[in-house]
Amino acid sequence: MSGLLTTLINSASALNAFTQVLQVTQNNVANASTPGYAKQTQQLYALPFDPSIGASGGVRAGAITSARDQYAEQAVRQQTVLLGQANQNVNSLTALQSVFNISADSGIPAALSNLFQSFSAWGQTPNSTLARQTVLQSAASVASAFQQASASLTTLTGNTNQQLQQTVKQVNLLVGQLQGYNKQILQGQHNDPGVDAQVNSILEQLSQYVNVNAMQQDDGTITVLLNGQTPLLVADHQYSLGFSLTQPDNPPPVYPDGPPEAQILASDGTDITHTVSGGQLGALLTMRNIVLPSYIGSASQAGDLNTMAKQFADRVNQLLTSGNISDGDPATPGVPLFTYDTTNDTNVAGSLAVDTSVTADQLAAIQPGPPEVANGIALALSQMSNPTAAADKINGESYTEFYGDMASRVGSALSDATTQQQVQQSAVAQAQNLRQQSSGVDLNEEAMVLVQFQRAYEANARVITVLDQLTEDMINILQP
Amino acid sequence: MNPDVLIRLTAARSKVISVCNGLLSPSPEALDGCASLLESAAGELEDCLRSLERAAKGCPELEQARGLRTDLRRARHLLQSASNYYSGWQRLLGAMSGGYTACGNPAQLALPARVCLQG
Repeated sequence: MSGLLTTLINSASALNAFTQVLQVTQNNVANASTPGYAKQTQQLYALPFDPSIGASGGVRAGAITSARDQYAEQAVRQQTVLLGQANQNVNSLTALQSVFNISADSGIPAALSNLFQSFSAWGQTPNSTLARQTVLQSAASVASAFQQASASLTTLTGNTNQQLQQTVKQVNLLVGQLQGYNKQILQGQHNDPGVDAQVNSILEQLSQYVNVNAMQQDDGTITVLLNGQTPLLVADHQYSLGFSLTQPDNPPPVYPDGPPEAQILASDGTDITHTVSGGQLGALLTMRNIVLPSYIGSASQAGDLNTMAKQFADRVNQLLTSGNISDGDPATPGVPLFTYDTTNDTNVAGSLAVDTSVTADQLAAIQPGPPEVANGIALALSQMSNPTAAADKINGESYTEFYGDMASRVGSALSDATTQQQVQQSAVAQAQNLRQQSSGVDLNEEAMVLVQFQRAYEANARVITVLDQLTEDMINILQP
Repeated sequence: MNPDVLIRLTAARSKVISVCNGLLSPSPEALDGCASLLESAAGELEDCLRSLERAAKGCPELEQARGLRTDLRRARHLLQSASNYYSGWQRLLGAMSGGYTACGNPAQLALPARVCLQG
């Protein structure tokens, strides 16, 4: 009788264990599409069986284990950080490229071309009022083109500031959600696959914005660090990031009136900008503090657009003031044509203008010499379009070439960023597939895969190197 | 335009794109398949180069060649990131099975003695 009872108890216990297995399986199927969900497995343990000592055997349900592999998860997050950075680079550089119009019909290149043509026409008829008026109008167009480019870059800088603020806010929001889940975990929802799925889904979202490291603690909570250094979340305490614009004082600013720098601040106010290098936030900081200032200036540089505007205006003014309006006795010297803000080198392009008090008959065409040349100054001005003299060049190039270099820098960076974006999209997909492959794998099998992989990798790497060289040879032959 | 060169370049490029797609799930078996595709693409390019020296140059060929260069960069990046992933696994398994060396590096992975036959 006792044997029958024991059998019945064992059967009930086994049924109970298998019911739990079915429930876990059902939960896995129901959550197959849940973001961040990892397959759960119900462990079963055989109970001791030895009828001679009364051990009746049977099966018992053990712990529920997760198939989540933290190494594979971190690999996905790392690639997501790079993808976030690549996506933002493409967006920012696309906006920047629209500022640099290199077409012949508008923008700074067109305005410069028209001005040089007006100088040339004036050189042919130096006493023509119409030719002089055309010079004044063309000069005004050049000034306007520089002002527009400067204004566009200033607007882009403002937009980038706003995006930085928004991204910091989004990071804080997501970390706040993780804080909520940590609180649930501390209240006892440890090992809940639903909470685990939500946490990992949020971490993946966070990775596109910023480079984070996530570590699970013994109590089940998640600790989140920015770039492995700055705490964002520890247990149920969140450390929010901040954003500010500031003029750096170490080293002291060379251009104190230049645009301020963007800073990311830790919760205690420490400047952690230099530790933020990846994700959308890293890309925005690079655009805001490095790329845009190279054109529009900052506390430490004037910016190429301002440098070009200043040198151009100074050269034109220098030539005009070195000439004479008339060759009477005494001769009447020429007057400068362009004006700009002389107190702030980072505002030259934005303030470039034609002096409104200058009239057409005040433009000096006569080169005093000796020998005197009636249209010498007008001709010298027109030679700025294809300069041979160093004084007519900027960094050894013509002004048109210098502007072309500025534009091609952006174009080249955008092309690289677009390629990188495509590469990273594939890299994220690869990491996600590897995560799928790695879930619940036997370690011995994994070790064998590593050996096979190493051999196959070396074979492929060698052929890709050969292909690279062949392709470069081909491109070199094909290029005009 | 040289149609023969263009056809060979396009064929080489489509093989490299197939390699990139294969590398999205970089198992050893997938990589074995990729190696043969890459070798075939290299053969196409070598034939192209021989033809090019005699033929006129054109824009479509240059565009395809640049596209091929971009795809090769993607393939290289995917191969390297797969290698980094598996290297990391190797370090983890080494640490789990053998601990750490005196220098703080994970122990070399002790591989089980097995014979692996593939037909």
